Amino acid sequence: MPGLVLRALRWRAALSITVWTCAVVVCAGAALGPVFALAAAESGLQDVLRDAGARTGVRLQGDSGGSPQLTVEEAEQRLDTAAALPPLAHRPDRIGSLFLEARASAGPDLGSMNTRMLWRDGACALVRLDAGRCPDRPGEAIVSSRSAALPYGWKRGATLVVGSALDGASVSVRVVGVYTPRSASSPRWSGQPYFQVGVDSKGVPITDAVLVDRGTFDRLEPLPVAPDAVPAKPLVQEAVDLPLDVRSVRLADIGSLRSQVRALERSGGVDAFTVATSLRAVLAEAEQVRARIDVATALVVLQLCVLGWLVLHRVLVDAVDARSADIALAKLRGFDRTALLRFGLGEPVVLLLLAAPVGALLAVLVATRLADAVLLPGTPVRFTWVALLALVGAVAGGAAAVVQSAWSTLRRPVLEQWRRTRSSSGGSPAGLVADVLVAALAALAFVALRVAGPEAGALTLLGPGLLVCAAGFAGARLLPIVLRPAVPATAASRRIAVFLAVRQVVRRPAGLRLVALLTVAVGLAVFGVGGEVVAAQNRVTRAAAEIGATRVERVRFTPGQDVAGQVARADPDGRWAAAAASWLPFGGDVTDPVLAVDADRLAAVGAAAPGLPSAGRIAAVVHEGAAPSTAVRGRELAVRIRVADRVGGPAPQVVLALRGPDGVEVDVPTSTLRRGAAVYRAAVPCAQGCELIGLSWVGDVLAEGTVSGTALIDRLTVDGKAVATGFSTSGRWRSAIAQGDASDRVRPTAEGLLDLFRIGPGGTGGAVLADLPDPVPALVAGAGARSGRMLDVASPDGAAARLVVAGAAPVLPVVLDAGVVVDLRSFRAALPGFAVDAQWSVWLGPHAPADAVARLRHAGLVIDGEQSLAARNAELARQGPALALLLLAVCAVAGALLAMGGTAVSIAAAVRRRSYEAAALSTVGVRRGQVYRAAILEQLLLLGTAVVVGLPAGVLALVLALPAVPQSADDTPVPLAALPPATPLLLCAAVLVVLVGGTVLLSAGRVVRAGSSSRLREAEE
Amino acid sequence: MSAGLPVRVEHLGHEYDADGERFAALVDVSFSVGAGERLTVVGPSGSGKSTLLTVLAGLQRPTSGRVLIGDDDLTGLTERELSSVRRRSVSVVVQDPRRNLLPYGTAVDNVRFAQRPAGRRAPKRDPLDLLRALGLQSVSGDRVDRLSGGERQRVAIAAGVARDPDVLLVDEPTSALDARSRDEVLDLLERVADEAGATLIAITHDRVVADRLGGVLALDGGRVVTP
Repeated sequence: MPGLVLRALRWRAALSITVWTCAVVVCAGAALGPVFALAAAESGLQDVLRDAGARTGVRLQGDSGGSPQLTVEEAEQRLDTAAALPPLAHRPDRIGSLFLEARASAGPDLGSMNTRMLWRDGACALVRLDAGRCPDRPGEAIVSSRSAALPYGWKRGATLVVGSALDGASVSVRVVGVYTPRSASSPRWSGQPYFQVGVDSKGVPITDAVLVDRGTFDRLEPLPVAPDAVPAKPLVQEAVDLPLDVRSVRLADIGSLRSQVRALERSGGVDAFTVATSLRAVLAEAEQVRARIDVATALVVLQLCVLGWLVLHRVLVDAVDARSADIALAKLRGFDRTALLRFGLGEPVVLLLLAAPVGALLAVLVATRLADAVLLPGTPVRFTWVALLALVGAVAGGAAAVVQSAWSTLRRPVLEQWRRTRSSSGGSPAGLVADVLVAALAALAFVALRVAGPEAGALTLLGPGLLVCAAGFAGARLLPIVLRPAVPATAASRRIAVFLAVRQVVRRPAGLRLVALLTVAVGLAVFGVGGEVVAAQNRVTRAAAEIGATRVERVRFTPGQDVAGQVARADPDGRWAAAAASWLPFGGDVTDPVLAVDADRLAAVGAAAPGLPSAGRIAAVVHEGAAPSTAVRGRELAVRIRVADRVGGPAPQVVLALRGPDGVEVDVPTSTLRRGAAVYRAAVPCAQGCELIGLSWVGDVLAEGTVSGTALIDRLTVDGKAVATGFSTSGRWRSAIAQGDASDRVRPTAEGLLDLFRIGPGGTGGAVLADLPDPVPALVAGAGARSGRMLDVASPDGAAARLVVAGAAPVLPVVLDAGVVVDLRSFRAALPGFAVDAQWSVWLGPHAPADAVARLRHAGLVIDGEQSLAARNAELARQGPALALLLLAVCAVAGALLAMGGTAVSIAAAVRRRSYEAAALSTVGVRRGQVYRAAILEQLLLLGTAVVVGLPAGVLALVLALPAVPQSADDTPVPLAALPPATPLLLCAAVLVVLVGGTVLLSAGRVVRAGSSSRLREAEE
Repeated sequence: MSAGLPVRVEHLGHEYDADGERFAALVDVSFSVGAGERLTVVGPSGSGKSTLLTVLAGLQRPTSGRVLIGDDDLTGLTERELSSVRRRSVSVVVQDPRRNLLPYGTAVDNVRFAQRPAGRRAPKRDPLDLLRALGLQSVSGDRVDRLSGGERQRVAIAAGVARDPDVLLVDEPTSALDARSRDEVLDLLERVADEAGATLIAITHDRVVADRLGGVLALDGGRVVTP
């Protein structure tokens, strides 16, 4: 009788819709887990593969008898062999390359540099040609713009002699162009070190690869040998790179990618190449990411499903209760057991079956929205067989809820159904045992969490659920016990509404089940929302600590480049950009990374990370003792000095001390110091800008005697223009550290800088600008750093600098818990050699204009990639634990709304029954207002208890469980918040109070309205 | 058409607890009704009429005595066997029409619903024919909750005889009906009892009903008294 079933569903439309909605949520929740987990795992896979970059590629390295050194003919054969390999899935490209480690020179007088001579398929498409063209015939080459900028004569049109570092074979190539790689870190370069600058252990510079035409290798001439010896064939290296098309890879491809590598390794044995790849490790990492996501998602969804199932059960109990008369009629008509089951369970099962497809659709929709919001763009959302199984499980669980809820009604005698009485009353011992079990499990879980901490992994996500369950069950059991003494107390009072409400709550177990359910829902919602708020806040903190600024643009550094000066040209006001360099010292007391950042600009660009020193504070500490530099830009520098009271001799030489853009100090001699006023001039190499360091009086080493007097320095010009030097400013100048027999006493006067000097034989004195501190103040990360302690750091060129610990903090930006932060200008002045080996970048602050990168490029900086706070934040948000927390929040809110809806329906279903009581009370003279107040108070006691217990239970779960719940895939030393700010919790509480208040008012109003005296005429026996 | 079954009640007694006190609803009640005959049980409120009906319908077990419907002693049957008796032989029309009918179904639906326990293959009267025969064709397609009280009661009786029961038990068939509706219901009851040949036991406090249906048994305080 499908027609009858449909009519019945329509007859009880509100209840049917509620049951169906609950079933939809349960089905959707169950299917959402696998669907979202798969999407998250796909996104995680893409993240892992993208992070791995060139490590996902496979390199077929040409091999000859176990050596990678091949003759050119052998190398060509290997290239042909690789080209003949069958097509490989997800690896559409094969990039062949020939190369050799070499030393190249543009001429005998110009010195040589270490480089690589390289031919590579499609290399020209990966570089920008700054001048000239690509090599297209043997003997032609292009060099990098960095190489061309160095003083080795590698200019367009020059001829380089490239000699193999291995066997001395050489070839001459003509430079036909100058290039800049579009992205040195592009996976298309297969992670090979083609673009490097620095110096080797012998002090010979290392520079970027020289790109040549393939035929150039045929022109290699072996090193000349004795006339009767056979010259050896020149040796080169060959490789074919097979980059992975990351975008095309899905989780399902992992197995085939592994097989592919195995197959290549097998074929390599025969065809003489070795296979090099880190793909296995990368894939293992991706699988770990997936496992973490799967477990965390399953646990979260399990909690939603259990909550949904409980709500569904609660609603089904009401639905079955509403059908009690129908079932009694079926029994009266003599339905046998099977027919009775079919009739009794038919409606809810139909609703359940109707809910399944809608639940599946909803799961896909929610997963799609979540994927759009937090996963990588383009992440596929698929409904797999696992999701189908979960859906079937949910339907089966729903069917179990149907049977469980209908069981007693189906078995009850007809008369009991008519009279709405039960053979036995009171709570079951099994229920008490279950409650005690949950409480014990919750206690155990929290002990385990406190002991194991984050090591407990995704299992920690079960803790909050158990805690709020325990709180809910305890609250429901304690409420009647707490209220029981109030029954006799209120019975004697005139407040009849209070008495009626209290009595009803004490004797009504169905209401108490609602309390437990709602408490769980409220507690989970508070934990879910609070946890997500904390996690989101911590992600921002962590991203800010790791990245340092809103955006960090990586800079390709050329030795001698003045990055800070170029940044200053792009951002003259210092509002949005700052130069920075991170560097790992070669030796000395500091073995952790050094972050050198332009402290003048740090406060404007540094990202705020709670728990870390502010950018302003860091700048103040590392900038202590520093003053603005005195810039000198021009070709001729002149200084006016008036010498008085000169006694003795011979006169020392006046030397101008300058610092070039590369940080290297340059001494420019002028002439000897003369009596009276004189202008001392010298040509200076400062067309691109220098910084003035000071003036020196250099005594003649060979002369005997000492000279002393006073020198008043009052004017300094560059190309005839006066430079503001602060000769009259207190603290701007200080006496130079004397070398040998010399002394100075420097003080500013209104006329200029006055120096009482004394220079002995070979001694050097003078005055220096006090713009840079020495030793360099450093802020040290980690515990144990003592202020005032001196630290030495050494650069690869053997130079060393001294740092002084000016402050310490547990965690600092970028270096985190191990490293030091210094002022870039001070550090570069103290240790210029660090610059060649450092990773340079430009930090952009929140006020950076939209064309900031273009402005930086215009200022001469080569930008080679970017990191951003937003990207890092998004990356952290895509990690398994973060996704699980987000899912928990979404599910908990959905669960709370569902429970609230279920409660409203449950109350509505009870309205008819309760209306008889209300009618009876009205008939015996209880005023309508009192009945209304009693109804409100009763619902408030029930639902209010759920909020009053659930809220603190959720907060307690946050306090106890959140520190142990992993918020990201890896640990971080960045201090993370454990509690959300009060605002979201208060907002959550306010929403719950409004929902509860609305439900209470509605249900109380309905009970009273339905409780008219006429109701008594149809009252049950 | 059914031939009816004899109903014999022997020394029936039934007690129950109410607020800790023991009450006797029926005390040593004995009577018998022949196959196809009619019996009207009358008595004031609280006399045990409805308790007697529920015991006769196998809805509750008496404390003592025996109830025989045909050869079946209801007091010795399991719940399943009692269900089987109701399915095969006994049909009940209770006082509250909402307990006799599915309110969301039409009259036809309700007749069909009453026929369902007989099984799909069992020979059944066409519901429309039955309703037509009982003069209810005009309301056959109407939803029951939209019918008047009298129409509802008549549909309930139609549903009660939908399976041609051997015994038809009717509890207060005319309560809360006006005189015209009462007459219509009584006409119908007489008709179905005559045409179906079922043994009819009606419970009522209304003398008019007792006079129309005949075969009066009076109860008072749970005991059979002389009317």
